[in-house]
Amino acid sequence: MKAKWISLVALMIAAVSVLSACGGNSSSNNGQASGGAAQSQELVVTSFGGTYDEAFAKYVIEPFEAANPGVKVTLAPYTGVTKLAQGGGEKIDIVQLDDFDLIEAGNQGLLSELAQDQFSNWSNLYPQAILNGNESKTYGLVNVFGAWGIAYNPDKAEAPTSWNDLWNPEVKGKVALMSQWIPDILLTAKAVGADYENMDPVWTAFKELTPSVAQYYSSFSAPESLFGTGAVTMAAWFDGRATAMKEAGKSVEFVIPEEGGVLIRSGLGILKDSANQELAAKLIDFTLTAEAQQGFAQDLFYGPTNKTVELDAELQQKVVYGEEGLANLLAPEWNELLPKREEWLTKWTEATTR
Amino acid sequence: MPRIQRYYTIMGWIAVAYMAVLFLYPLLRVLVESLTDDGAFSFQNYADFFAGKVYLEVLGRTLWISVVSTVIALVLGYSLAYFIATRSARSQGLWLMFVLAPMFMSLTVRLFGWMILLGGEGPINSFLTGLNPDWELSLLFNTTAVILGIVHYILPFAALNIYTSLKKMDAAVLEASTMLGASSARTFWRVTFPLSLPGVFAGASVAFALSANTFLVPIMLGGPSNQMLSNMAYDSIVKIGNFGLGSAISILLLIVVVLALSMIGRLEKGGRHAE
Repeated sequence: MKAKWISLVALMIAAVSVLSACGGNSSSNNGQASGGAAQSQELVVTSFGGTYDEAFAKYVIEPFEAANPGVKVTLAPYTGVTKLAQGGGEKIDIVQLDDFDLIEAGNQGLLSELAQDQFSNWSNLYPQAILNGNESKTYGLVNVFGAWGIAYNPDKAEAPTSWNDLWNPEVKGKVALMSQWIPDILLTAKAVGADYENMDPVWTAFKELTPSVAQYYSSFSAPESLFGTGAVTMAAWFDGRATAMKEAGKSVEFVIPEEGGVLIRSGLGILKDSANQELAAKLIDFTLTAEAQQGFAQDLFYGPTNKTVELDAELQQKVVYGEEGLANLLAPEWNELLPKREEWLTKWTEATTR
Repeated sequence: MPRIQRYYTIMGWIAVAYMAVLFLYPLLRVLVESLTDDGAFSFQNYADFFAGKVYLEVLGRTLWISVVSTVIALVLGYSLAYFIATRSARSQGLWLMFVLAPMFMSLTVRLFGWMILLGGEGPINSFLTGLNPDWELSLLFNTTAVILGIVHYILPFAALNIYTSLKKMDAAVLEASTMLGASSARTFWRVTFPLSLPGVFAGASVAFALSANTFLVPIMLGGPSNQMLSNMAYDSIVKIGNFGLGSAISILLLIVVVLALSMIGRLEKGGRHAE
């Protein structure tokens, strides 16, 4: 009996030491990599997958690697704030996230503060492209803009003009909104005239809307199949994906409702624990160049965040472009909203899960 | 100790250590997390669960959907298993492959297939609207679609468990029953079925546990009123960032599933006494 216990304990110790040895190895590797800049260096960047990765490889990684011989950029799967906070960012240098996640991660102390002198393109950015956390510290820079509005199937529904058209009985059962998504909550607040201190009318509105919702979808790409299979005719969505779908010959149109849309921003931040701070800043600078942003607008219909980007007249109509394009989009004040996020999303869940 | 036995003992302890480090430890962490609020021990997360009516409602819905799906899967699975077990020995392998084949593909892809099949422009609706344009049915994003998807997911598990117990049956027993003059229906209900019950109970346990923990099916085939408890746990933790509540939901789901499984186990034992 005693011998059994001893062998069990020995096994446990062996297992734990193997696990910790793995952890130890990787950190010492990181240490070595930062030592010699001339040696081959690897930069790990999380990304969103699919066509975004293709554009990122073409317009950012290729020119960056050409300009920095010996540096290899590797794309890693999307990693959210929850995972980063649990130590999931150990091997990552740069994260690509939505604006609110970058600010949240920054405020949680996971990201490095960015300084203007590290970025040659900083002064050309629209102010909305600079993501500040608490105490005005900059934690992320936005490389693509999008607009949150309404996409619809013109064969089956009239063009919506207001956010309230999602409540229209004609589209009952054929509406999709995004699940736990603050921009949908903000636009609903605007449509019902609620202020952020008293959101009860918003939850009531969601309760009324829910029976006519086919699905609260969970990923940005979900409406593609929802429209594709004819399961929905109207959805809260963003311009880039909707335009790409339309360009592919599908019956989908995109409008910004009269209440305005929400500015969707995706950007990049550097993890505090990354051993390649300088190089990481350099790579982010490459995502902000006029050439890269032109490419993203052409291939993915994302709006440029760099003021110097010139797009041809046709493309200007399809993406968020220039001061006018930004004027009717609400850029949420995430530092004020994030403290309310947990309460709002819990209330939202309770209103919509009946 | 004979050598071979010592070998298995050591392997067994390695498996136990593996379970302890990689399964029990994380589970314990979830339990601790569920009992922590603002860094102190508290039942607040459980209080929140029972105070917000929506969670209890979703718990009830999860159980209801799981029970219905399990029963359907058992009836279909039994028929399927019986059908295969009575084929010629040579073709049984092929039939089993046929049952298993869907499991080689990711569930996401299979559920996407269901979305196409049930969608507004899918074959079923195209056929119906071809007959009469007003006959379009909404087949997606409701409870039926979710149950359909779950049954699809758990059916192979139910069928294989039942098949195994049917195969283990001694052919001589069935022969004896027939020779003593029992009709084939009587033989089935008095001999075959009772002897296959261990497989039915094993299949029921696996099917129920898988259904109650389903996460993907409600996301893809369900509407807002079809979300299950796993979805709420995920949303709490990943989207809302409330680890405590998410952990409490997970623990309660675990408790409910364990209770249900022990009920199934008790039913099985009760059945044995009656034999």
